[in-house]
Amino acid sequence: MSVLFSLDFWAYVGIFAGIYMFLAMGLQVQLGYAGIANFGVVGFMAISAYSFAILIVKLQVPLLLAALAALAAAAVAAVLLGPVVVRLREDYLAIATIALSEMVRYTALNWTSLTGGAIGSIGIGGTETFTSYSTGWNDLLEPLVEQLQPSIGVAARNVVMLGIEWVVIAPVLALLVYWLHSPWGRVLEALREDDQATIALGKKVQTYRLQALVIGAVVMGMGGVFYALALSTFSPSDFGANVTIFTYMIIIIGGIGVIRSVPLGALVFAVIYAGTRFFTFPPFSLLADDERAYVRMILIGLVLIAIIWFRPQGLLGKGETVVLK
Amino acid sequence: MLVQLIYNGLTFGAVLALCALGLSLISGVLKIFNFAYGDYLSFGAFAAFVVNVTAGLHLAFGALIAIVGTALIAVALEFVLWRPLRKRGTGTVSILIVTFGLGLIIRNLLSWRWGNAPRRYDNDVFQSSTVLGLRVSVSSLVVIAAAFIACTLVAILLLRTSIGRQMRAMADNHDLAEVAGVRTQGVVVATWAIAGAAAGLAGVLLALQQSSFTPNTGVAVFLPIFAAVVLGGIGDAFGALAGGMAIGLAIHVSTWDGFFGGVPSGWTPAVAFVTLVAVLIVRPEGVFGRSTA
Repeated sequence: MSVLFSLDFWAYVGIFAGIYMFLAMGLQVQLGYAGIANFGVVGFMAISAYSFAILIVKLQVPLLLAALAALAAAAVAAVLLGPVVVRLREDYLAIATIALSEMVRYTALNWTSLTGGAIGSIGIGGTETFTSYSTGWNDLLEPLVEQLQPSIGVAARNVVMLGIEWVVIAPVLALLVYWLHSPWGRVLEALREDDQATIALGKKVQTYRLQALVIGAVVMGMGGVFYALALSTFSPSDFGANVTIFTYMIIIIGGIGVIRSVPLGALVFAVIYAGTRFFTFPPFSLLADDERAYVRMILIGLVLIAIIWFRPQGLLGKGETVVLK
Repeated sequence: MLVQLIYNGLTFGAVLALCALGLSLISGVLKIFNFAYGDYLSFGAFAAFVVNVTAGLHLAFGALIAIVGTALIAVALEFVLWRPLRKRGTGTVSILIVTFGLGLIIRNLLSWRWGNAPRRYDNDVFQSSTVLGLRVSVSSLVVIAAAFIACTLVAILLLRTSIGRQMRAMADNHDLAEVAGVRTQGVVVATWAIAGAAAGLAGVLLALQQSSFTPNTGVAVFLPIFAAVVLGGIGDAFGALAGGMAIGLAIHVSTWDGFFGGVPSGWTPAVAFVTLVAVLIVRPEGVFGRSTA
């Protein structure tokens, strides 16, 4: 039971939820508002995480600059995806984006000289010499961690990480809420509901969609950068299609097209995900570790289906908005 | 070397063709992109495993149980899941998400029961003979023969029987078919039964072709299968057959070193992904298709 009262554990859950917050905010912009069924969320996250690590290790780019360049990389990927989005119906788009995100993963897995291959980011500087991109970041955190250590002990690092992450999340969320409630966001919603009518009003539908795609991708990219920072090493297997499914789960729990519901969805998801891994008391202790991993995924599958069955508009969604076509 | 690759490609292509045939029926008649389809394959593979290894019976009997069992599951899901969701008017993206959730559930139930360690059937997968320098395993011959027979049976069913004509009519135009007197609900159940049966057998053949399997074997070939369906034109069952063969061959033959030095084996899945995306962008109606699906 002790884990429930451990600050370190809850800070970890918060960090984890925060990474998925970025992914889910990005997906809300793309799917919830612009109606772009992007099933390749994890691809943008992976592109940013890898760009960030590669720039630091291979080119010694300063931390902040590398982070900005990583977000730019996600934006470029979104622009390249533009022609696909413009052409395809939503279900075709879904399969195309899955294939593209898998291609990102295969590239990370096979382009060993650039990405380190299967062993992950520690191999970026060459598979014999283990390299880390997070030394600079740790130096940056060190003073803060040392200050907190006397009062909260081992939890200090996670708490600092959590604080920095949410200091970034809050303004991003505020900005997105502001944008999506501006005339720009209303046009997006209008074209999601009825693109013919929106075209008739003289709005350039494809421009708006492309903007939403890029903004969403950049926010997902932030998730990738924070993933890299929080874990200090990562590998291609971290970027499987499940990450995308979890992101869908989050926005479905809160409500598709309800951007302010993302924190709720992310928290519910993080507790299910991280919780079932670390809860070591009954009924969870009845299962072995690997069994718990399977049960967790079954639970996530059931939640996905249950919400679409019982409350397709999500917990915070209103009945009349967004029932996806 | 090249001939061996072509033979291996044909074996894999035969399995993919059967897989694609089933998925194509679901996509065409039911207008559902079923992301759980790969997990139907795994379910079939494990159904045969229970009969063949756990109960110690012949693999042919296992394949039979896999066919029947997967068909039953597919039909049962129509009644408890898809039909109620259709009645509620659930949208395309929501249905996609449900198929994802369903796939997660099936895959992890299999993992929970049997673990993720590779399994084999109780047969000699390495039993093979060399014909003119070509290594031909017995199981690959079985795979090709079984896939060929199954595809022929489904083709006959589609072309020569009343239910087959009704399925094609529904794939063509659902509303028109309904107005013309097609009992659409019955056809939907029949489609799930046929697609489920195809998936059950295809799962066993896939397991044989790859010589070992895990609960993730099915989902791992989902994108190649989908590439085959898209290549042939969504809803075009015969296009799917050709598409499956083409993707199977492409994946294996692309590693031939006469082909620009050969695609490194780690990259071969990308062959399917690139095909998939390229066809969707350039020719979404499929290579043989006439009108946009």
